[in-house]
Amino acid sequence: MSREKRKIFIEDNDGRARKRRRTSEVVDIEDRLESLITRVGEKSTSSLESNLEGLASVLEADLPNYKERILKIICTCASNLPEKITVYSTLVGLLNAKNYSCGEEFLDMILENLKDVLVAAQFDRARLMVRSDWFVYTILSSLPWAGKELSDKKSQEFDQLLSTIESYTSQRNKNHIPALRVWSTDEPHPQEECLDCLWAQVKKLKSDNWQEKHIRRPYLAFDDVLGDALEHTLPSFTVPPHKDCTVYPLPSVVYRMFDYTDVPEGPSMPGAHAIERYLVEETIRRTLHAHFKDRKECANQLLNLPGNSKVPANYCIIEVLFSEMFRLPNPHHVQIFYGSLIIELCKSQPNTMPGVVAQATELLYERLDSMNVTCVQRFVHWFSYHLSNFQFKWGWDEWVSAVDGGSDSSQCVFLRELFERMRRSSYHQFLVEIIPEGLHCLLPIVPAPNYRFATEQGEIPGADVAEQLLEAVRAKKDMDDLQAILNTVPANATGQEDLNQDVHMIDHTFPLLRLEVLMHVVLKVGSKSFSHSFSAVTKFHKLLKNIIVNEEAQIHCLKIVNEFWSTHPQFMLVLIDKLVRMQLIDCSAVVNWLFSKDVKDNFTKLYVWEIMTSTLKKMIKHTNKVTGEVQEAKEKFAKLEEKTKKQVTFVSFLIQSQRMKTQISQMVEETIGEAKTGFPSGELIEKQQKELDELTEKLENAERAQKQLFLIVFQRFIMILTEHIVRAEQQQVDVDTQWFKYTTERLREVLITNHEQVTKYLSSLETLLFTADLDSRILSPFNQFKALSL
Amino acid sequence: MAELSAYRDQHFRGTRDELERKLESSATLYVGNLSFFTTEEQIQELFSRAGDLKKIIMGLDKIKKVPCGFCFVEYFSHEDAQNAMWYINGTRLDDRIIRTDWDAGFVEGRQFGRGRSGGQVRDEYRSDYDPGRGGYGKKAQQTNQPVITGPAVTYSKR
Repeated sequence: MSREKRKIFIEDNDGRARKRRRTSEVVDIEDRLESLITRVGEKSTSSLESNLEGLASVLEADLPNYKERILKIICTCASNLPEKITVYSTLVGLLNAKNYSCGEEFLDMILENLKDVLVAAQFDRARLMVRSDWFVYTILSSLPWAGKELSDKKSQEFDQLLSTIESYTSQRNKNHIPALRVWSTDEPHPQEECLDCLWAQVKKLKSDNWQEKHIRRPYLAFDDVLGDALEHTLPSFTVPPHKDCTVYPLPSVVYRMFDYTDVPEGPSMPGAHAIERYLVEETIRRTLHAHFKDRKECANQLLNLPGNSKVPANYCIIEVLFSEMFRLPNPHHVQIFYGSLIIELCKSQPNTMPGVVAQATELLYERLDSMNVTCVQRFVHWFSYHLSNFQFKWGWDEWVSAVDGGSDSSQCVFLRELFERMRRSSYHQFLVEIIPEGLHCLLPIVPAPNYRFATEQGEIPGADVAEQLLEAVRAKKDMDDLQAILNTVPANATGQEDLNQDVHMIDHTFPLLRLEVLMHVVLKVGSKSFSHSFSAVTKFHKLLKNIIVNEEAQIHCLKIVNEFWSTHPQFMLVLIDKLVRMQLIDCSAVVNWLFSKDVKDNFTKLYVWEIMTSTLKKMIKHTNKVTGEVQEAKEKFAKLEEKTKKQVTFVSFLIQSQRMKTQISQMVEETIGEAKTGFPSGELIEKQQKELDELTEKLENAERAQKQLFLIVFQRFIMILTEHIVRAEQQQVDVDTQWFKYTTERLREVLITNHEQVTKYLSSLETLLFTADLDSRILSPFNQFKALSL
Repeated sequence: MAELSAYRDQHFRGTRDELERKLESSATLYVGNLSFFTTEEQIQELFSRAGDLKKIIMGLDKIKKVPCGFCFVEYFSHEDAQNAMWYINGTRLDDRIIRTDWDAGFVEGRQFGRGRSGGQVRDEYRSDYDPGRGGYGKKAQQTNQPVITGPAVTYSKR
């Protein structure tokens, strides 16, 4: 850690440090202590043991003056630098041997700290799981450190504990596992539930008589010193009781992509059930969480972890990075963190790391067939980003054979999406130049606006008005003129009249052709760039608002966007986002449109789900924002009420004294007057109350809309999947098409990635939508979701 | 938060304190060292990876009104802009290492280059040859160095 970084890191955890530091000249000494303590255990020319001994005597000298500070720093280090936990425990032991009372103070401090963390529900900074699961996990994860001691000194109680865990783990409900797996098959690597895997690892550790090779145990060298010191009795510790608002870590599944056969040289990869595998993974994971704000420092720490020489470190790091990136339902951090970190790692170790990343990419590519759709999307997302930082250099020739598997193969689907994303970060002609010809059939079409009323299209209904409208826009006519031109299209015109005169016309609830003409013109005017489109939509907002009068019109508007930008999914995504934010289109209309036959066939394409995800996210963000506003208003109101109460007491007190002391009534009356105006007036309270009422209503509306939106999504999913099953059965063809697989996985994705929201609607979903009579293939994603949240 | 860099907008209207306060809660970033050829779509693709983008404002040559190698990106939230500072600053866009910096918020007029020739000041005096930014610096071009012209009229076309 650089000196600067370390300082920030410590101060983040101890805000008080800063203030104190400014006030006195102890600054230097405290800084020096901090630096010494945080650095011990890092790479050094002398042995860890002698460094520890040296540090202990330095600290002993400073203890009388800086005890609180020293203990605080150690406490922060021990909880934030877990890879060095044994280093700090030894240090505390040594200090304790020298100064008995400081050991006790340290214990008190760290237990207090633990309690705070538990109350704040920062389980390992958000590793979430059900309460009992979490307890078992906590016990198991401590055993690599304490197992040997416990089995030596308390063997009977320890055995009892282990057998309790055994029976607990064997009885757990594991229905949620399929929803959390990255791959649908256990070949080549089984994907166990995390707790099961840790239990297997601990059992193996036990059978090895608690011997492991990963943890540094510097205290062994000080056995005599520590053994002679007086022991403290550990104060009893009660876990804070469960509260409804406590959120426990969600269960997870182990992610493995490498084994010893993948590592050509150097130390071999520990087996899946070796405790060392758990320990090294856990250390990497903790390092990611500790340094996510600084990718360079994070890379540096990862490459210099203490245990790195005993394992193929690069392979372990990359495996854990992918496991975090693919983590279901959601990764801990924004995806670009993992991507930028991988780039940083490649830059730091240009001779070894890129090879491991490439090997991982090849493995992922080969295993696409059984990969969860959500993870395929993240894979595309990451790889296009990664390549954009390395000039898109890749062994493309080796992937040409993908087309032999047919254009619907997982590899082709992946490449098509990858090329689309690569186009977004470069440009079409560039792809044509770098991608081998054999793969050109998978390149996206040249993106171009598709303006329906172009002159070369011949006379089609509305073309003349569109032309006039465009000219008027160029001539900078005002909105009323434009509206007048637009109104020359009859309100009931659909543009189909001439072609199908006999056909019965569907009555539209909005002026269909008018909308088409206007939208095409707006899109054409804005077709140069996103910014141009934004200003066009803003400029024409009033005209659009006049025509887009209901959901049917909204959906039709989306159809036109789709027609105009079908070759440019990114444009569609950005534009729809804008239309929703400008409240021209509702989230529910977007969802209904996505499930219409217009889009349904594109369900295997990623952009559809980009639009879906972004729409749901917007709704959720809106509701959360209003929730925050209501909370704020409530607090404000409570404060006002508090003040009013004080006012009432104060005024009545004054009135009493007025009665008693009529002689100074004049003065008191004045004071009353002042008191009344100084405190919030009834008017102000009324105003606040009104504001609060309005916000509460706004929140109720937002919550209702959000629930409605999710119900629509799931209803449409069920309809579309049921239709597919029925049709396939009628036609006696295979139900399990690629489309069906994708769509059911997307249903599961929407359920689990939004589990926080969807859980609130569980009873409605169970009684109204996911009823027992549904096909089991539709019901199973829902059941997995239920198992996950209960 | 990602620490502020040393750069401060010299044309900011307001006190130094106001500027610092605005920077600390800002959701807008200045993005520098872009190629003149880099499009809004490419910027959207990269920066939307850090969070929801409100808008992108392309920096334009104040005379020719064509991109001149910088832009502002505005997010809906400070946190998302923070992600961009953490994970995008110093990585590549269109094969150039770009620089991002906190910005106090876009004000009309700031989209234009402040150099004498219309582009950014840095492109006035540069002596290196940068094909993504019009070849040599303006000053050097006057001494008869070969000239690479910027992109055509609009920035959405390659």
